[in-house]
Amino acid sequence: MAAGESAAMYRVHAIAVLIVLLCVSVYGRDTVETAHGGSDHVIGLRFGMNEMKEENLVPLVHTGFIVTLNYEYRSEGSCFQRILLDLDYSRLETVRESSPLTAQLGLRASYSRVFGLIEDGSFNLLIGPAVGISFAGAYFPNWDDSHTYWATTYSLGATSMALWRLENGTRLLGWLSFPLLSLYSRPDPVRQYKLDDISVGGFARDWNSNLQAGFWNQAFFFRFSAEYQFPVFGTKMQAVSYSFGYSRVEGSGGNPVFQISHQIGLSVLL
Amino acid sequence: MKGIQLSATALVVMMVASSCLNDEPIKLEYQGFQPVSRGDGWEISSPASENMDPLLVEKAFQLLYLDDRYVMARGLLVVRNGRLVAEVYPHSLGDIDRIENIQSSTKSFTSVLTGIALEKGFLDSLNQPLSQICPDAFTNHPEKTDITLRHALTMQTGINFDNDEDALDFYHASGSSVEFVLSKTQEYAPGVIFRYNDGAPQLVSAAIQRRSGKQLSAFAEEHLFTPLQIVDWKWESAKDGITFGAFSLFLTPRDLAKWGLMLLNNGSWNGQQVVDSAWIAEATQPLVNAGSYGASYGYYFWVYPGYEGYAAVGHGGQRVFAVPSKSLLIVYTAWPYTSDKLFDEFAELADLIVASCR
Repeated sequence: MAAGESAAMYRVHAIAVLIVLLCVSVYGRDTVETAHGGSDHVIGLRFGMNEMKEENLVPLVHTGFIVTLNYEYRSEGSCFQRILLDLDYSRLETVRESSPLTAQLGLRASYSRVFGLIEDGSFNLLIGPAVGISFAGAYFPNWDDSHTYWATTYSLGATSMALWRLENGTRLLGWLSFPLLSLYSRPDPVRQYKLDDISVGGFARDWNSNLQAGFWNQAFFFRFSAEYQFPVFGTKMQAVSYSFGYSRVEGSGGNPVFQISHQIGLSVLL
Repeated sequence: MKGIQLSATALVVMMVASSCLNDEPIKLEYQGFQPVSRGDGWEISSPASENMDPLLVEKAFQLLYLDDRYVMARGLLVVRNGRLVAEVYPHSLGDIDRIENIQSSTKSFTSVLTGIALEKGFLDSLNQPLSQICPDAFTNHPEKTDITLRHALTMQTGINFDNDEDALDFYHASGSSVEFVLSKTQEYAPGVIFRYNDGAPQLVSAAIQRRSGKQLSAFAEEHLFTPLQIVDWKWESAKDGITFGAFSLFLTPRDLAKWGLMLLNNGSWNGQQVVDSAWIAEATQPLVNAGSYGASYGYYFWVYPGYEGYAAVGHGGQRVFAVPSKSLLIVYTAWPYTSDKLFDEFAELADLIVASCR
């Protein structure tokens, strides 16, 4: 398939999914009894393994631990709304290095509204649109001690939530989200200057430079999380979770950055 | 419904469990080192034709292509008797045309340009105090008025400019780059201690600019790049407009070799004397003991008496290594921002190639 045909196919798919999401948003407004109702503030901490491959620099996999501080606001009513803030920190190394000197910082924020699509006894499936911002910046002191590498995305996508109500007030939630349209920024593969501008303004400018619009074939990130909620201290809920993230953001010179993370976490619903 | 739930769960679990990234080759497959004639003025030859042992040259080039060695190598070129006899670009064949930062090898260009400026009368002598050339810059630094061009060229200004601590701020400094250097404390008297740093070449760059009325980059274009027919280049300047004398000249590997060959030819290129041969002889002499660096230092050239050679050396592992007695030039380029942990041993390549010369 020619590149032009492939891009057109992605465009048609993305627009079709957006239309479906819009229809669900308009018509899927039946109240969904997802849980105990009301709203929750959720604070969580996740740990796990992270893999990254920045092909703008070197096509070797950087591997290491990742820790994420997470805050969520969840509101349940005629729909389920979710505001999500994640702050990641990761230290990584390749097979060529003896210590994890590479550092990666990530900041993600998203807002999603999901509406009931399927309700079957104790099971609910909800789906809806999501908007998100993601900044992922890395510094590779062994490989490039003069520049930072980033993948910035502003995205419009889809998210879905599956909920199983279990016994004794416990619940199992599954989340799946991915973008359809994005504005994304990646570093120029040829940077003819010795050092990055390391001022706050310099980072803000660089990390939003060369913004390009793309579909999921250019900026794709898939997030899946499963969360088991159980009551503690009577009315309070606590949760253990597993999260998986995959991202691939195209480089301006065609060299993408990949990231895969597996994390387990603990969160408290305040 | 339960079937759908189970299938979806199984699909997600399988997808997640099977996901991982894989390393990809850093280098291209080795396919020999024969240079290609491109009509760019380079005369192409082979090691055997230039009285070199092809097996030793082959060994060096195969070493370069090992997965776990010279991981960020971008180019290796060998010139003997004025002819290009071996050339590879292990990362990308496109690197042959790509200008890249030669980092501190830039200092050696500043040295050559100083020789040209002296020859053309823009500078009086190496013993001239820099404070005579740029008196306004020294008004607030009377303790530094005795620093001469020679002190700056031999890294013996005595100024406490520490590359590890100061180079980043120096690059980003918004005011005068000369003032940035001179504002550092005078740790030793000039001419006493060798201390390699990026500050001293900025004083030389400023002196040439002051006397010639041109930025060092423009001076280089007129007096060096144009005679050498180097047209694709870039040279960064500080925010005050003074060209960085220490780093950030960008050249293609073949143009870097062209400059190296001009040095081997005692400053001559295509019958034109670009720089005085006496300057090259003096600049590449072991003038200063470089102490812990394991080499001697000339005027912004590293000198290796054991090889009877000298080199322009830059961060990332860049080398333009000349051995006049063997009419040999080796140019090694690497990703210029790699830390010294990944430089690898240029000497291992050099030993093989030098030994190949009969």
